[in-house]
Amino acid sequence: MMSPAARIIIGLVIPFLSVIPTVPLLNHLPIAPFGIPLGLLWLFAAIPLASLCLAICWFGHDRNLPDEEIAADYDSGREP
Amino acid sequence: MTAAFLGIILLSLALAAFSRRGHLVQKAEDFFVASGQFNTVLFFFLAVGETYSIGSILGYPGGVYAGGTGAATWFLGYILLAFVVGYFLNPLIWRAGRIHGAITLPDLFRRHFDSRALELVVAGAGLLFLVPLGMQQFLGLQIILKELDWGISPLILTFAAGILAFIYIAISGIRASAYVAILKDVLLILAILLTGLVALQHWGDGASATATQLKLATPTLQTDMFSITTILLQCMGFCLVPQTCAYVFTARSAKAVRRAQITMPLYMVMFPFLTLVAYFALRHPMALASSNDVFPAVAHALLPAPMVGLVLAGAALSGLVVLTGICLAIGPLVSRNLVPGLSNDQQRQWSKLVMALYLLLSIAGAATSSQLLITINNFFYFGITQSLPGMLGILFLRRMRASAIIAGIIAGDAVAIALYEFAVPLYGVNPGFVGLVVNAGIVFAALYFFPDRERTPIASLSSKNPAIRMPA
Repeated sequence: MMSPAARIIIGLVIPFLSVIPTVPLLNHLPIAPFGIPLGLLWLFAAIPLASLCLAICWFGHDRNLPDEEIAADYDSGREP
Repeated sequence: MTAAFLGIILLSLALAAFSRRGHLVQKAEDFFVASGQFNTVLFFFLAVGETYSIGSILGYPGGVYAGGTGAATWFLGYILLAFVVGYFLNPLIWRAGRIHGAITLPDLFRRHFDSRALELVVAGAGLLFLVPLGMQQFLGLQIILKELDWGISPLILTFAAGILAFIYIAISGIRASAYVAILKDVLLILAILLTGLVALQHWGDGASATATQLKLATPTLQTDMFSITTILLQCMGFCLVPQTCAYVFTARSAKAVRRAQITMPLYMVMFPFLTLVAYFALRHPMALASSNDVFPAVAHALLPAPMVGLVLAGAALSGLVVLTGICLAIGPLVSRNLVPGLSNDQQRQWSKLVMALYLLLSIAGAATSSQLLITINNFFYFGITQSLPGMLGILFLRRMRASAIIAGIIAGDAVAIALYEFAVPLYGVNPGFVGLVVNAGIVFAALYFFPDRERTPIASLSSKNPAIRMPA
């Protein structure tokens, strides 16, 4: 099973770094294929990347955790 | 066009009626959070349905059209990272909701910190910042309904839309919302893909390149600061939106929440196509009453009439579904959190009254405002995100003080609104982000200097705790 640190790096750090500060920095480059700035095109590519990172966390770690079953008492502490 | 539009609206009512099957008698928890019985698929459609409101379908291309790609950077960036943050936080919020029997976010705060005052402050702030969101949906609905060209006054049409939203809720609460959301999402994806692809097909026809170049302004340090601070503020605030919390509480299990979060970013595939639509409008100058009209105007210009009817129906349903979600969040904020001591049945009845009043207020607000839809989105997150330090206290920290959370929320909201209203120069930093920094400073200083008695944070509960049972 994937370590908790690897889970945070893959699931949280990589998607964050793919957006901040990468996108604003790329927007400064004078490259705009089809008139669309490179930063925006990169952001579109970051969409499947984020899903991929979360899927790796799921299959490598979270899927193996036991599921929780918690019975809720929605009226507890409320009168009448 | 009209027949296609009305056909979809009738189909949505039939789906709402179908959602009532097997739940003819509903308790408050079933009405508001489906008694926590939704599987991954229903939770997914509810949660993404909320993300792609009429503010997205009209506001995003409108923002790109009016302000260039700066708006696209923060708008897409925050939604994408909100799903990532949600993957980690939402299962814990679900667990907290179950342990504390929560239907609303203030329920969580009250039960965890045993503080009625904190419940009132969180509920009051939620109400204050949810008001413009309803207005945003009606402003969008006005734009969509105007495109139908029925020759009826916009006020009457938005009033009819308000009645329709109320009918969905009255039929079966959150269950109707979820089932209509499935229809709305399928339609919306088709509508956006279709309009985007046809725009691509006509890309070169009569294009004016100078219009595009005008909008590609060079980003500055100030616009970068706004993008970065807005993305950070709003991606964290997304988990604290009252209706998002309610949707998390509808899920059957923590794993159902997590599974849905993995696929949510993929649903953003519609944004490249919305960008195409905005760029198409820039390359082919057309008469627009406001930049918010970009999407329906391009659809009207390029698609045959019955298709336009389907596109408009999808957009209208997106506004209506989000309205039902906001109403179902606001109702219990009043009947459960502000007004004390109502029975389970009374909570449901009072909520319906509150929702009807909220819809009327939002219609009146929309009739007198013409703000850019995307700016309403910013204002909403100024306030909603201020519950973040308190939520971190519930999930991860042991000695946070309720009075410090109250002081932090009030100070954060006041700072954000004051900075925004008086247009204080912040070199591009989002005023809500400054408010959050002040808020966190107060809460964490109190945690360090005046720690409260120890409480077990939700993330520290393990299977050994009697509150959590693991199925065999």
